Amino acid sequence: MPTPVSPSSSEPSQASRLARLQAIWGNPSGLGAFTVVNHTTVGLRFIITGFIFFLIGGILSMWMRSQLTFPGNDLLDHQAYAEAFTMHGTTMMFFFAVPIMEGIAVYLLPKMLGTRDLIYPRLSAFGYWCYLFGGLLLYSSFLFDAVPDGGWFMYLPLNSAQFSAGANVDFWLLGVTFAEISAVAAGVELIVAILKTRTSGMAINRMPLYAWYILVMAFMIVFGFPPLILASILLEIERAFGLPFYDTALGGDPLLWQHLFWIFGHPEVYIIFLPAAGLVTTILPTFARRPMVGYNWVVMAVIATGFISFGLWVHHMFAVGIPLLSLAFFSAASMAVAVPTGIQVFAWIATLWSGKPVMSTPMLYILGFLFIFVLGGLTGVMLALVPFDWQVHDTHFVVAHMHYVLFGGMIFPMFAAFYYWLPLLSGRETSQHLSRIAFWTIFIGFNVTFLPMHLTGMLGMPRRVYTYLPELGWGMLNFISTVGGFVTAIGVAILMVDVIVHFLFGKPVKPNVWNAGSLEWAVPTPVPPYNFASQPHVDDREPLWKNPELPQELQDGRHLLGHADVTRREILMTSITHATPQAVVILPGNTVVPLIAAALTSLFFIGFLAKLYWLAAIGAAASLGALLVWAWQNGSRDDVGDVDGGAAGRLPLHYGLTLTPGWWGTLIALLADGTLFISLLFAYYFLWTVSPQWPPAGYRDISLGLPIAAFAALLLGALAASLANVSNRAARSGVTQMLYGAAAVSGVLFIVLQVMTLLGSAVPAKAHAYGALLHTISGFQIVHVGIAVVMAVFALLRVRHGYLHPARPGEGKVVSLFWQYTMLQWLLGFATIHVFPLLVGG
Amino acid sequence: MGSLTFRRLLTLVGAPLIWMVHFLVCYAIVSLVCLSQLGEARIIGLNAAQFGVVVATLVAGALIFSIAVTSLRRWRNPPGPDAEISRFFAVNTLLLCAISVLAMLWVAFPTLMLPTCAL
Repeated sequence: MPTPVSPSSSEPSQASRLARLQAIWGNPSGLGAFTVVNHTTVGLRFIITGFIFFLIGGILSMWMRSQLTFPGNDLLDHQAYAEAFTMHGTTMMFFFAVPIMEGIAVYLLPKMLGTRDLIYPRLSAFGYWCYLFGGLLLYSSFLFDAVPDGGWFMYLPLNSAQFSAGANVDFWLLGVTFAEISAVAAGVELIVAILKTRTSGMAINRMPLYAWYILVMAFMIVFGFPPLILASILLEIERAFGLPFYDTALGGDPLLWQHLFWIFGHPEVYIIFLPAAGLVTTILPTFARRPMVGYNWVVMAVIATGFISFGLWVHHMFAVGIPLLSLAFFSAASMAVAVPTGIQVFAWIATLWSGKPVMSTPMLYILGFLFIFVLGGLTGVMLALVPFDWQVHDTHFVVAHMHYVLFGGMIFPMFAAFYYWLPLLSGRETSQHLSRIAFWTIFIGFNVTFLPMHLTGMLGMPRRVYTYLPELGWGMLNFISTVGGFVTAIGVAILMVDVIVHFLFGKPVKPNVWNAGSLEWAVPTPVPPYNFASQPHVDDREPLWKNPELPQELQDGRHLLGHADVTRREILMTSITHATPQAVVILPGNTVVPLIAAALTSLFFIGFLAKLYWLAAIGAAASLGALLVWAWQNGSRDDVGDVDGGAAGRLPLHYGLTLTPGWWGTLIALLADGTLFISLLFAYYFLWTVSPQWPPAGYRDISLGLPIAAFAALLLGALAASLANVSNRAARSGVTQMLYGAAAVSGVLFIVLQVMTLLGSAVPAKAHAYGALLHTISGFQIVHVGIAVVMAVFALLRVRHGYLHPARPGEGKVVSLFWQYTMLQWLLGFATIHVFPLLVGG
Repeated sequence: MGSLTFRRLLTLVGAPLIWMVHFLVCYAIVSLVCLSQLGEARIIGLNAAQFGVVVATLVAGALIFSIAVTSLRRWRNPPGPDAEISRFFAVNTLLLCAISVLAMLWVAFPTLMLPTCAL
């Protein structure tokens, strides 16, 4: 096990070593700010942008509350109110809650894991730009008087082309999907960062609990977001090109949208809550002055929540006419998920109980969180009961419950986190008095808004209505809620003033001001872009409590990667279980490519929105080009040796690995991609169950000859790509290039044969959902094979230019992984569209 | 990723994965039985949906039980040089088995009490 080494006398001075690190890792100024990829900066950008969206969403809620203050109020008309609630929900869920939680994770996680940056810095930056452009695209709808007005859930048939002909729905679908690229990118990056870049000695049983929370959240993003992305793609295809998926008259079903939306939508609640609970689990032990009680119980509870939360989605659909017994399954799962959540609540209480709690502003917010979240959780259990849900479905009771869970469960921990980590960011003390005034104003304001709203709902006031009659008796409760809403807004304003004042006038604080045990407090303030002058070796869950001298040891370069001759951005790659150092990863520096790639992707979305499909095609091709430039920047053409890992001894560079960071990222991205495809197959089988005949009457069977030939071509392609990987490692460059060429040709052959199958089948795409799915599933596969062909050609060129080499085999493994995945995907796709109809057909 | 690491991680999430498959199978059984008008057929006193759910629950329960027994053994006598980590995986796997069984029974129980295809 590595132990800290003493600084040698021949080393240059500490100051020059730090200056060198600063020069390598630093952010450029001026226009260069657009090229920054560092996680601290990107994380802060996410947080600030997310907070701005929070303020915008908050202003929209103030409009709604103002309108509802009195019966018959005419501040907003029906249309404006519909726009306000749609944009409020959309903004808060997609542009505030998820991105800001990701932003906090992007900012904090590498510091907590004892590393210098996230493993894919360019992907972090790309994710941020996609998020920003997605938000701008959505909000540009105000300029075109086409603000989305169909609810944040975009139910069908209201939002079909027939009933919402304008671009309002398209703004929502495209803006949100654009931002979801960002969420999935962050999910992939956070998973690989947690599994593969924890610092030396941070074995899986010593990992900070926050990392467990983020790991589960990130997996939930990977599996939870694709169903909505798929639902949105299908709806956009239906609206733009007329392929029916949701139109009952043509074999579709609006319930398909509801299923796909809520398979995403309920895990989404936990995607927001879990990282917030992770913040609580990090902050609370610091103020309880003891480690968290029940580490294993919390790990179990977080994993269990991750799974069970995927079995709750139908509780949003209790009123749509699903068989009672099926509802009971979801009702039971909705109650069962309270068990792991309860375990976490008891673990927090036990930690406080057995510690010596110190009251502070972050702690105050955590107590506020516990109070409000538990109440929201209890009304959640009430709503899990089908008969009760039927009584209050679509009433303000649900609005009250949801805000108790989300405001209590996410915004209070977020404010606690702001106050807790601000001294790390600013090096200044937060206020004692103003911060507490802000807390009490928000806490009282929140409860005054939403506690009476439970009653409003139970008295029968439906959601999403812009006004009500005086004789219904909802006036006083609504008036109280509006007053509470404005008090909350004042509280948020006080909090903002307090944060600004603290930056200007706060007293300087000592390092690790709260005497915390986690590694982010070993980072100096102001936070240097490289976090740690040397990466720590840890052997405890609270490294700073065990060794208070650790920050100084790290600064002196006495741990890992503290060598003086550093010339590139280096971080450690470690094993998943024991966090044993395996390699040194060379990270890319600042580059404008992520911004350009995101800008070109936005061209695709804008082209689609404006129905200028040629522009969308140019955008798609250009963004693919940018991604290829990005990929070309990777790797090395030189023979790579090893580097001085400091206390870990000499370590190889990642270029020489078989399972490179790129392979890990591809693997996780393929999990998301696979979920997208499974969601598409779910659509197919779901519509089969609601269709009286499949294929519809009058459709002839598709002959299997051409599809089998296409499948055979694909198998050959996958085989060639796999053999190319083997032959590259055997140093047979000529054969490798030939095999990549063969894979590309096979892929093109598959595309040609599958297109011929579709043309020869004479199944129209627009007449029935059967044909729409036949074409969409084939199209999905054709796009994948197209990407696989590009990858094969890319690999061929990389061999020619010496990047893909027997000593640097990683890219060959990535290409063969993608080809194998594409082949497996088609195994399911082929069985579904070509074999299944023969089995069930008339 | 080493095969031991892969096996440990897969075992860790094995029980909740089984819960998830069991959940979807129960949902699919009820949907398909009600769709195919098999709701009236009876097997050993149970209708088709009840029978399917009971069988699925017994199979899933047996699988989770086997994971739990192995984990209990590893918890008591952690194998290999990394006993601390073996024990960590074993105890978390056990806890996840417990909550998965609880959730599984919770989900399956209403099948025996409610009319199968009533709306």
